[in-house]
Amino acid sequence: MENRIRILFLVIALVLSAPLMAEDLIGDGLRSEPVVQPEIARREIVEPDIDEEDFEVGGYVGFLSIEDFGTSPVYGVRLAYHVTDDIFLEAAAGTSTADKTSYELLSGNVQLLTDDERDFTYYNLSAGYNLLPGEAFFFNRYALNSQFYLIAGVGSTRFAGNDEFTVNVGAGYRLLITDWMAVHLDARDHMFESDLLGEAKTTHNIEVHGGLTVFF
Amino acid sequence: MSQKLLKLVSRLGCCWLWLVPLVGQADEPPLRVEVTAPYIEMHTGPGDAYPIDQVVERGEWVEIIKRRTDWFQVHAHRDRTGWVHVEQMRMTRIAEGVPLDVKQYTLEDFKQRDWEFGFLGGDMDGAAVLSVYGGYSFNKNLSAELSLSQSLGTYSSEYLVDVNLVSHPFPEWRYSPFFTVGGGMINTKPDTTLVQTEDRTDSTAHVGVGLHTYITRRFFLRAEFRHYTVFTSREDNEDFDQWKIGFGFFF
Repeated sequence: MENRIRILFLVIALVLSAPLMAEDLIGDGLRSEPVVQPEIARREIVEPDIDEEDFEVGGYVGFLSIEDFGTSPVYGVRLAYHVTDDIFLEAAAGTSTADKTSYELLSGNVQLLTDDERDFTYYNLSAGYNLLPGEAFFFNRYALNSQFYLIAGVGSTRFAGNDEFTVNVGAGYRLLITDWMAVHLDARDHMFESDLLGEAKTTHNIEVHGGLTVFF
Repeated sequence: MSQKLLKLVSRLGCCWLWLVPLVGQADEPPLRVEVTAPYIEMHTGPGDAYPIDQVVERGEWVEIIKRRTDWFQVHAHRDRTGWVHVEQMRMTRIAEGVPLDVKQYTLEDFKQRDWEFGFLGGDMDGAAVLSVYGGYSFNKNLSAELSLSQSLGTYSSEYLVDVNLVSHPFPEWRYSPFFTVGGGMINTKPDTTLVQTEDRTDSTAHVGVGLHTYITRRFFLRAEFRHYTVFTSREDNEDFDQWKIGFGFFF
């Protein structure tokens, strides 16, 4: 009986130590130096530094027809990022000053808004889709790339002292004078809810502008 | 980044002064690559719709002028210039055994990002809200953000400035959730068509949860929910919820 127990313990001890011994053997084997030392000449690969031009920045000047308040000059700046050759994202901000309503003009002295309240400023973020890429020919010497695009987005407009959530939709034409400079013609409808003249309504404020942008 | 800024300044300066022909291209010599495909096609513009008007054959060398989205403007000998798609540029090489390694942003780059910027829109207590934010990642799991929001309600508009810490417990996931906590200020401006009430500014605290997922190139989609508490000077604090969805890009 005693012998059996002793044998059992020995067997257990042997089984438990076997992996350790094996590891020692393998470890010794691996630690020896390889017979052949590989000689690989590694080539330095420098990631090429290619000029990327996905951003487009510029300014514009045009006319904004503020509903009920006449038409006034508008100035703005825009920054676009071209995601693919079809899609771009654009952030824009512009400012204008509202004219007088026909009521104010006819009645003489009535002022519906103070001078500060006549400031019409907006910002928006829009997504554009280049619809009709093409070439425009100029004096049978130059072929200029062009794109017609549809654009829509959301933003905020401050007018008459209030900030209003504004949706804009429009279309434009981009003519590339050089590889990095473009002329724009753009039409945009800025729509927001207003209760300025008594009842709440959706106002349409149509803007037409021309601009110049550079890619960088 | 600073090179890009320099280019922008010089180009804007050029427009201003109308000195268009004086613009110097990049100072470094352009990268030259050898065509290894039977031929590559040059389009007249950076887009699939522009016609192919030239091809460059195997063994010819071209200079890469610039890249716009997935298109490369290249210049080949005999004064040929055109735009080549990235897939065809992969079939060129810088030297024997060194193919042109075109930078493509992937999910891995998104996980390793340092800076991110984004635009979000949504609903805040029944009013439309627009936000812009910037963030910096300390490591894969922790980032700090600064956001500016404008809420446009029927009776008032609010401006919010928030600073928050964001924890990303599972940055490896394709749809990675995050948790955020922070504080800031809220400025409430009642509409002028209402009875005159005063502007007021209060401090706020918020907790939030969100999800973001990589889309393509430098873009990702982000959706989040935040619960705000406004510490008013009145008897009770105010609470409101904010839901937003939008996209961001990373550097």
